[in-house]
Amino acid sequence: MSPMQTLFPNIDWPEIAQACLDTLLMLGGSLLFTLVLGLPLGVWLFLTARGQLHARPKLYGVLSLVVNVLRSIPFIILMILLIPVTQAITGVSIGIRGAIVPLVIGAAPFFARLVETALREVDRGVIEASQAMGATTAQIVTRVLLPESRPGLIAATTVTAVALVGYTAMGGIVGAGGLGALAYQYGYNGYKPDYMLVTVALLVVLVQILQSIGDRLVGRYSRR
Amino acid sequence: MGRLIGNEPSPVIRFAAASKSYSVDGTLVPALHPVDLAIEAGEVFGIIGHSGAGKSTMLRLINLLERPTSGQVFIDGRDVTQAHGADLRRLRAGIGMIFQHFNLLSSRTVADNVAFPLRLHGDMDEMAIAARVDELLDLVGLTAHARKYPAQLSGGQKQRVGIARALASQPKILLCDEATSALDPQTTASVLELLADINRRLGLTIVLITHEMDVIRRVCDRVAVLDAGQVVESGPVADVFLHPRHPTTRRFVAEADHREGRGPEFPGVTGRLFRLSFRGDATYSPLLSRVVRDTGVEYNLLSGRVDRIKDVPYGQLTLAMNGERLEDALAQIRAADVDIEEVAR
Repeated sequence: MSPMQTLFPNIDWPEIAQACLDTLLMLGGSLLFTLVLGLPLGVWLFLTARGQLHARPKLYGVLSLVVNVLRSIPFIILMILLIPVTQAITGVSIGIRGAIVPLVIGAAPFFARLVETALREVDRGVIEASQAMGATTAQIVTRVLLPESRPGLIAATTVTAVALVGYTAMGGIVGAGGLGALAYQYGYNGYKPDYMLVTVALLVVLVQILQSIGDRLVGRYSRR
Repeated sequence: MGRLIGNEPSPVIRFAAASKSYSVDGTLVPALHPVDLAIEAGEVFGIIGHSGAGKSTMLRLINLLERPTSGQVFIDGRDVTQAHGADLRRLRAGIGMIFQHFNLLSSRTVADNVAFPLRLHGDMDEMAIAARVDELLDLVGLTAHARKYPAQLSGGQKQRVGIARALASQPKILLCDEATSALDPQTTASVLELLADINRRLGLTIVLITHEMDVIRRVCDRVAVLDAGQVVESGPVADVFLHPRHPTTRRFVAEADHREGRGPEFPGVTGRLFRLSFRGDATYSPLLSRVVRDTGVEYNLLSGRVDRIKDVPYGQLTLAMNGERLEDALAQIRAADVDIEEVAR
């Protein structure tokens, strides 16, 4: 017996590799759509809040409520509630594609709120100066707000990506696969502690990598 | 010049009963009472007031960062309060503005900050923009810092970037919002000098707000004193500075003279107290010694200052005077174009 087999007697390494790939696919796909939906939603929240460029307190109240409701529902429940929606959008309710819909709906409101917070950090005076120069709201968003809050937005993306790693682990419930599913099925239900150890270790490594990439990018774009 | 009608200069900016109130918990609180004021082309006009006096609101009515609650603001004879959308943005592009805290984009280099307004309107190609940026950085003396980020600059340098950015679109009006209040005295002096130089060289109309009489004295042609949302006094700086009428104005002048709180009490000094104010050529003429020789009065110099208001020398002396021919002496002094004000004691 090789040392690997002695240490990890139960592990089917190709299966672990497949699970890693599944986790990365779910993470990549859901992060992409979370950014695409969450960024405009965050900008919209920011602009419509009281005292901001396009203050619409009632609209802001509605948007804010929807975001809060989606953020309050535990992800595991959200996933089950969304099965019909997922089926309507992707045609399947299980697998990687099936997991991406609830992952995005769970994470986009969270990300939008972080975007709103990051935009609020932009100096009001800089926005006023842009208005004084005759900038349109669209120009203020694309040329002032987003570039000025870039470090904050990168940090928000990092936090969201890490949260999504946690969510994908729950994706096992809808048969999404991935490292979390392995940890649960074999490690917990199947009493195979080596599975638990390896999958959790891989998740830790993934989170570490995401965080250090995020931190490095924040450092590169901080100009204050 | 289209803005001249006959010999009468028409104001470049005119407030016509313009007022501003804010709604606080459902009640309207006035920030600026209806104000009528004309600012002429090419002058440096100062608005002085304590914080909360409404000067920031007044300045922002000019480029409609604040809309008046009632009344109008005219620029080149046109009622700008009617401007909206693209029209308003075009109007704003023609008015430069600089700020107390500079308000530069921290994520962009000095050169990109200066180019920012030029890129907004999209009517210049990158070659022309680069050439204009070089020209502006040269004007404010920052050519060597073009590639730096604002965080790497000193306060004075940041304000110079602000000035270059404000001038990029070749505005006819420059608004200065407490532009030197965050700077140390030496940097303040150099920034004010730059503003005065720009005013002279480009013929730009400058409107500045400040709470420091010294800023007004150094660069402004005319001044309006704002107190609790009302213009309480306005006119040429020398007139307002040498003959302040309103208590608020007196306080500002006293602060500038560093004689806060001290009344004109000079125990042990005999005679009547007079404050002599003179400016221009009279400042450097040996008037007092001549008067003393001719009339035999005695004087005692109690306090004084000889300085400049913008480019005009002026002096203000407080004297105690005695003598039989005191009235003759006073008449001679008056005849030499010096204002005399008796100080109660």
